[in-house]
Parts: sequence; structure tokens; C-alpha cells
Amino acid sequence: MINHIYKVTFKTGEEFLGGSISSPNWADCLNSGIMSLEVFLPYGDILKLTNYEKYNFYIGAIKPITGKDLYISHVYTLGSRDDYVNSYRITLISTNTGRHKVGDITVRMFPFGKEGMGRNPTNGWKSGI
Amino acid sequence: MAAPSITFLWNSSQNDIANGGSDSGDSNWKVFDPLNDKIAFLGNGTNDQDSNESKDVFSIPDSGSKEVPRQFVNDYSEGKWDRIWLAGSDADDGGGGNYRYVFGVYVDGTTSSAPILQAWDSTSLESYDLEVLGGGTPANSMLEVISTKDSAPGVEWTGTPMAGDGGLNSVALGSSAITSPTMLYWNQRLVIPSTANAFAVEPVLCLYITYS
Repeated sequence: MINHIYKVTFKTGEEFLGGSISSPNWADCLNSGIMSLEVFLPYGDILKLTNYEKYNFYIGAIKPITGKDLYISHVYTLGSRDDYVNSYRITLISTNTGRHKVGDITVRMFPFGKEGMGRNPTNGWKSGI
Repeated sequence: MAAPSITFLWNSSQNDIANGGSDSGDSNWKVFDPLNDKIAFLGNGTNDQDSNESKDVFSIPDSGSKEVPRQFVNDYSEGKWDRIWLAGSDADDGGGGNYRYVFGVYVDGTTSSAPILQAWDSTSLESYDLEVLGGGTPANSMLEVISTKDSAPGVEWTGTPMAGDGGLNSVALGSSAITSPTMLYWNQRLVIPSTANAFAVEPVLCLYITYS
């Protein structure tokens, strides 16, 4: 069974259900007319972004040079308007000593194009209404 | 889209040349065995292809700071120290220089943002408390990394002190998302201050990636 981690609702009323955390399928979501992006959080709550010009969604993961595992560490959902980005980062593993623990949501605002780690741009933006 | 496949490699040769063999390596580049191989910083008494049953350790300097002069991969399958000839800087008595193609990672897939190199105490990815990583103060980390994706670093390069995932103490391997399978490159060095305590520790380098 796939645990859908987000839902996109379009102005037409149609919906797109995302894939799993290991394969979110954001690329398959239509790139126009997005009215809202809802992310399903642990414990059953929903984080809903709406009224943005653009939306983005991606997963953060860490691959150590030693060991086979890929550790999925964060879920990101972003909305952009007026050349600024609101970024919501949900922590899934406690990678940041003493600062962020599992379940924390970090909200930050960036100029558009500076929202990625290292203050670099991100790919995958899709258009709102 | 699923997470990209990630393969770490090192340049085992004395040729400053890009990897031509994607995730399989080539005559210069070897694939890092993530379960058994380890990177080691050693003294001048250890030579390429020496047996890994012994080693020459680096001595903490009496004053100032010195770069550990030689880096190796403890090649588990060969039972030998495989010298990473081009690793390090020429500053602080290091044994490297202006070399671009030294360490690499092949990212097979696409990402949402530029991959980031990080360093942690262990694969639990929870802390950076080891003295070699600054003992909780990332700016004091002895491990320095520089991205060489776009150019060579210069002869006496100094890198970014590595510890945890803070923006000032991790290194973006490029400035944009990965849109097709790509090799990314870096160089690294270990700079030991005279105030350091003796250590034999195994911090972990990691690549932080994003996918959608």
C-alpha cells in the first residue's frame, strides 16, 4: 500500500495524490493551476499551502560514504509569491544536534532562487493560479 | 521520481583526470566499497600499496598547525593502503596541491537542489562532537573540504571546516540541481593544531541530496 504524502488540488477541482516518501512522483503532477498543496504529516495532521504563485515539494536524504543505507531526513514543501519563498521543512530524523528533533517544522523565508541548501536554487517548481 | 543512486569513488592514480567510467570507475578511478573501505589520514612513512596491517601515524605538531601529509583508502578487498596521491593541499606542509579530480561521487538520477557534503561523528547522523570535527564547534573542525566540480582549487587551498549540516560547515558540490547523471568532485585535507589531543576516530562523510 502506498502512503500518499501530499495532495495537490487544482482550480478545476481535480486532485493529484503524491506517491510515497521514497518515490513522491512530484514530476508527474500537472504544472499549472494549483490551488493548494497539502502535506500529510506524521500523527495525522495536514500542512496546507495555498494562494501561492508557485509550489515545490521534495525529500531530503543523507547517504554516508560508509554503509549502504540512504537516510530520509526531511520533507520540504515550498510556496513562492512576489519573488520570495516560504519553505517548510519537516524533520524526520534528528540530524541537527540540539536544534531540531523528529517532527519539528522549520519555517523560513528566502528570496526566490536562494531557497535550496547552500542558498542555491531548487528545481521542480509548479504554477499556481 | 525515486531517490538517485549514489556511488562514491576515488582517484587512485597520479593523473588529475576526470572519471570516465560513471559508477563503475575506470583505470584511474576506483569505486569505494561502502561496507569495508575507509579513508585514512597517515604519516609519510606509509606508502602506496603497503599492507594495511601496519601504518605510520601522523604526529601532532609542536607548534602551529600542520596538514596530515598523506591520505589513503584502506582497500579492504586488496588488504592494502591505496594512496590518494592528489589529496590535500600544499599549504601547512600538506602533500597535495592544485588538484581537481581527487574524490568524487556519481549521482545517477536527478535532484531538486545541489548536493551537499557533510561530516558527522557516525552514521547515526546525530552529532559532531568529535574533537576532529571541532568538538561541537564546527568552525574548529580539522577536516576541510573544497568543491572542485567547476575548477581546480589552487596550490595552497584551504577549505571549509566540516561538521554537521550548518551552511557554514558543509560544502555544496555545485550550484544547481542535478538534471542528468553527473560526477561531482571535491578535495579534502586534515589540519592538526598543536593543541590537539591524540585521536584515532572514524567520522563519516555524507552526501545530502534532495529528490521529488
